[in-house]
Amino acid sequence: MADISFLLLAFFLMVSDIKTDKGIARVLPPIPKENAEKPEIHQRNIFTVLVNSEDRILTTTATGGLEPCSIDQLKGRVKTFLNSNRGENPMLPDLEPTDIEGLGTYKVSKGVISLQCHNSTSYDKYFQVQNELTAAITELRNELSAAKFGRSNYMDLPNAKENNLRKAVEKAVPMAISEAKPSNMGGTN
Amino acid sequence: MARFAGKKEKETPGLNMGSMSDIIFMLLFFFMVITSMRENTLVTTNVPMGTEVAKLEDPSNACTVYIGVPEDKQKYGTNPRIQVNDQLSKKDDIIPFIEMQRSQHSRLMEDGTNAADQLTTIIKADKTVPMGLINDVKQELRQAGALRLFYNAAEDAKRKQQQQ
Repeated sequence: MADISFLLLAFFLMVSDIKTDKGIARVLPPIPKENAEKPEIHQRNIFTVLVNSEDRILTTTATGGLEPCSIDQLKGRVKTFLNSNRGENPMLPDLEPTDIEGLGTYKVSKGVISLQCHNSTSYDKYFQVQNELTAAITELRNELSAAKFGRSNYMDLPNAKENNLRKAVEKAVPMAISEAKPSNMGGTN
Repeated sequence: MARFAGKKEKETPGLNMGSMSDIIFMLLFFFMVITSMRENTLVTTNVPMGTEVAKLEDPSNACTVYIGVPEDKQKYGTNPRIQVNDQLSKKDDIIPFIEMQRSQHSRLMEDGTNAADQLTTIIKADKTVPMGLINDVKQELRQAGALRLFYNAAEDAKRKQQQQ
């Protein structure tokens, strides 16, 4: 009996593996309906991140131009752009006071990150950029959570059906990433 | 005291092996519960490393698309390929694949919605795959209406520690 069960155990150890499903979740935009109007977004509300075929990054500067950016600088720049805990600044995105349940009126940044990559950008670089964008937004959410609710990690906030504070923080600092179709610009294939 | 004077050399009693099978069966059930069947991958997927990775919210309601260079290079060449349904596929196969997964995952949730609408597609792609191919897949997923994506990655514990 013990032999049989040992055999079965060994068999299961061979054919199975422990799933390590970790990663970054994203939601794709739905296919726009035909003759749908393109929403107009003011230039100051867009932060462009371009990744070229050689995996180099360009981002928008405060004056509206583009400048090279290393992967380590990216998070800081995105945070300055998306931070809504500041005064009015014509170079930074519009702030829209919004009523959020659990938070009261909060100035939500209308900033959108526009991510565009080349067809031969490596998936690794793209992922690292997504990673930094997530890091920037998570840090902003954590800062808000620490200031309003005294929790330095917004994921610790209650997310029950009533009084969903985590959702409130997520609304106050939205995951505003828009992905343009990849182009063949910025280098040869 | 003849009772205590008896034999001097005592033999150690053999270990009772009767419960061994029970223990092994328990181990077996434990492993069966915590693991899942290994999926047959035809492509190498060396996933990228990130610091912001999180667990998938509902792992049971997900399907996986593998993208990478085929392991059997002589047979399938060295160009990155898409794998769904345990076979190398073209991007046109993704919409039927998603529809099949939807029908498999279709069940009524507590809040009255269908679980299939919340189906997450795990993209398990190799680091070296060009974005052109990934974007083709993403475009197909948009066409299929499967909008929840999950970029599979490994946790970079070293880098995370350095940042803190």
